[in-house]
Amino acid sequence: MPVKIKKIKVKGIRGAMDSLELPLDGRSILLYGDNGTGKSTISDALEWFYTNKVSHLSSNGEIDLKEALRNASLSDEDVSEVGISFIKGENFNATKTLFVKRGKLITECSIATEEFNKYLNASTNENLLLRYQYLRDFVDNTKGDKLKYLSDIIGFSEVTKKKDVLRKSYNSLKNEIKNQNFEAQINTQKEVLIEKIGAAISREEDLIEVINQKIAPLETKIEVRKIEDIDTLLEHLRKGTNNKLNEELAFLEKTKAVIDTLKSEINFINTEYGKYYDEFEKIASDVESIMQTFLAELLKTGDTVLAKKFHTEESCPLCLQPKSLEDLRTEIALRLKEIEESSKKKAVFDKAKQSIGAIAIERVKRLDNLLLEKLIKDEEFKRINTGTIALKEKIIKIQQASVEKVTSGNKIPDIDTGGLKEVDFSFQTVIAERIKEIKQLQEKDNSAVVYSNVSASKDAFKKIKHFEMQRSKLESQRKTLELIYNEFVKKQKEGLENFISTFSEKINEFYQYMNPDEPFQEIKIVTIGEDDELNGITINYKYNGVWVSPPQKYFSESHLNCFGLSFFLASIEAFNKKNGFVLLDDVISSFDTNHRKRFAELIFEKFSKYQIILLTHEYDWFKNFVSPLAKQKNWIINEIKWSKDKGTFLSEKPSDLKIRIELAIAESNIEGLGNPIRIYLEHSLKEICINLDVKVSFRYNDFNEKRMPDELINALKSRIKEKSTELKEEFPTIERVANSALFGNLLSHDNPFDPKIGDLNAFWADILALEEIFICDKVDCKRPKVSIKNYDNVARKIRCGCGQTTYDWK
Amino acid sequence: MAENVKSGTEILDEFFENVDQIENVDQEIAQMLVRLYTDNKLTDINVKNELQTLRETDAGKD
Repeated sequence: MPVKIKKIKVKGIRGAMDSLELPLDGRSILLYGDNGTGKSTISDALEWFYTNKVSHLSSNGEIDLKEALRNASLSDEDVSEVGISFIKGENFNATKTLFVKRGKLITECSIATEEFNKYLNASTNENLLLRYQYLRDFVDNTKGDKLKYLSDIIGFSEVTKKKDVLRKSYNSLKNEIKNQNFEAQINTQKEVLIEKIGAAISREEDLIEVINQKIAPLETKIEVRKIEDIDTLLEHLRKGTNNKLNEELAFLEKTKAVIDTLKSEINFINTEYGKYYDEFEKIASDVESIMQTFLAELLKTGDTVLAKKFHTEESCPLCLQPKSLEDLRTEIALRLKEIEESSKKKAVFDKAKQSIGAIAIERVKRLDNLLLEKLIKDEEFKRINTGTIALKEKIIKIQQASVEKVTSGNKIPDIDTGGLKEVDFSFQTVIAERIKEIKQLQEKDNSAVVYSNVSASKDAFKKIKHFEMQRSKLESQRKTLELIYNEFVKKQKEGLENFISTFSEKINEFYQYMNPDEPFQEIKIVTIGEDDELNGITINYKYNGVWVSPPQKYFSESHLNCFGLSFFLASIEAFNKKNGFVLLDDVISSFDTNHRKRFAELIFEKFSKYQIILLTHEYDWFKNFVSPLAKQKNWIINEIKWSKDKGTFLSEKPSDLKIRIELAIAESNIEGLGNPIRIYLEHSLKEICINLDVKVSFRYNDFNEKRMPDELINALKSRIKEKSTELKEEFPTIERVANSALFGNLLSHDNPFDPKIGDLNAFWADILALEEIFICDKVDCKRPKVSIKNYDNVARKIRCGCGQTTYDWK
Repeated sequence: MAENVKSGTEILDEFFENVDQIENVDQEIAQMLVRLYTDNKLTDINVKNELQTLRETDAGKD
């Protein structure tokens, strides 16, 4: 069951200096407030309560949200708060506070239960608030921004983001597999196996069998049964051999394997570098168009400035040269289209750049690993050392070329200059010759030869297994990511299709309701993009029987606003499950009279099950159209005002105030009831005093309004004493109010007094009894208030309109 | 509005709730993605790092 709001209390937030309370009790409310009275304090408070942000404040990075939320007149000791209590959701009743602690503004919430947090999370996915500003943005947004806005409302932008993450992760694995070039690494090791034991074996038992055959002539009495036994065997063989030569040979063979692998990758690396070089050249020769991609944001902003009419002169808003604004927007649109092409080129370039960059880094890493070998520093291997370093530097240059800014004007080496060449590997001969020499030296020593072959083939076998495992893990991860991504795309598509067909129907229904008998029919949203790629959504409709897109083609601003509003209202029905209320802040501002009327009717007819908080600054609409409808539907109607002393406050009608007080007393919910009772009493006494022409001392302007009940009661009594014997008999009733223990305590506007329910009940009864003296109880009395306006000159009496209630008056 | 209409968030929640049910999907990767999604940390960089950790952890087990 969706929750509705029982009461909203806002204090020290935005315009609300004092406590601003909206006792709704689940009812809808129509609130009028002139511009600048702080209506949006309520929407800001609600947005902050639910989302911890206020979008129109947060969108500007220069504004500190917490600072902006606090009422400017508060001192560091004051606590700002937004309290919301609910009907059918009492567990969620909470107060969010904002206060200064050690010089910093801190936020706290009165409850932090798991249930409440779940409710808050669920609420952030619902559409609880619509401001005129959002609708206006919707109309003025560029096509891309509009799609984003629509996607945001239904939450599909988040789906697209997550899909991007999965796609990028999948691509990253694919690239990793490619960059590692496992085939080349495995092939090198297989060659080692062939050279050392005559076969590129792939099974452990085969390796063991071959090794046992090789060592048989040595009569070591060691039998290798598993791969770990090889180390014992090697240890045994090593004892009788020249250890220095063994180490040297191991180093040289490792070096040979790394350099051989790299050499086998010349073609692979050069191809990738070649692709990058070509793309670099293409873009470098047309730097202008790439520079344009950086201008896209500026152009988009410029277009927004024009679309939102921030600049209305017929000139360019930047250089101020005379220019037709329409022409300017057309040119901007054209340039943005060109930039789109350039962006595509840049994407291809970026892909090639990323690929060669990653390949180069991986190869540098392998060479660095080699350069860490102890023997490579020996004078004897200087040629190998310098050759390896030269190779590394060459690859570093490739890597550096991959990060060269294409707009810098710098050239990068072409393949002939920068690519890898066979000659770069000429130092391989040194390695091969030295290996040959060592082997010749070991020829006479059978143990040494066997040691070298077993050791090298064991390493090669293990490396092959390691590379195979790495490749298999990456492949398996890639496969999983691919399955997940494909399933994601499927679910996204299903969800979207469901959404679109149902949602379009609703949008059309609401739109047609606000725009009957117009030539725009079958309004629907449609996806754009490839089969499995949702790039966005757009709007189609039939205009005089012909399909039209985009909507701006024939829609007026009112029509577009109606569409935006229909979209929002449809999304309320679609997504609001936890909350049965919605706040509409000044949403009809740019509507013409007809659309305003139809909108109000739509809300009352189609959204009667929702609790609506409808804020407006359109007085005519409020007074002459919505108020009568709202009254019929039992809405609360009120006005928001602002004064220097109070900030934003509600001008509650005494009749509503009376209902609120009586409801609170009936429910024994008396917390903070002192002020409303005082306000009601003041109002009631003022009215009695005006009707009886009671005199009080002169005061200027606003001060005249601030008459306290005691002053009014005393003046009333003096007037009665002077004028009416009959009314004097009612003094005990009047004095019961004046003498009540509560009376004195309530005189202070912010009294901390905390009375008991029984005392408040009795005091309220006394106030009503006092009122009754001056009000006719006859049901059909049209002017029930006793007033000197109804003075009977003949009988010398004051009376009500029907004459049933009379008092002598001399 | 019809019950089958889901918001973007609902689609995401439901998808990640059932990601481990997709046939032939590596359960560790599925759990990792669910964890990142639940913690609101599902970015390509985080996924890349987590995949690498999974590979290294596997290597450790070997």
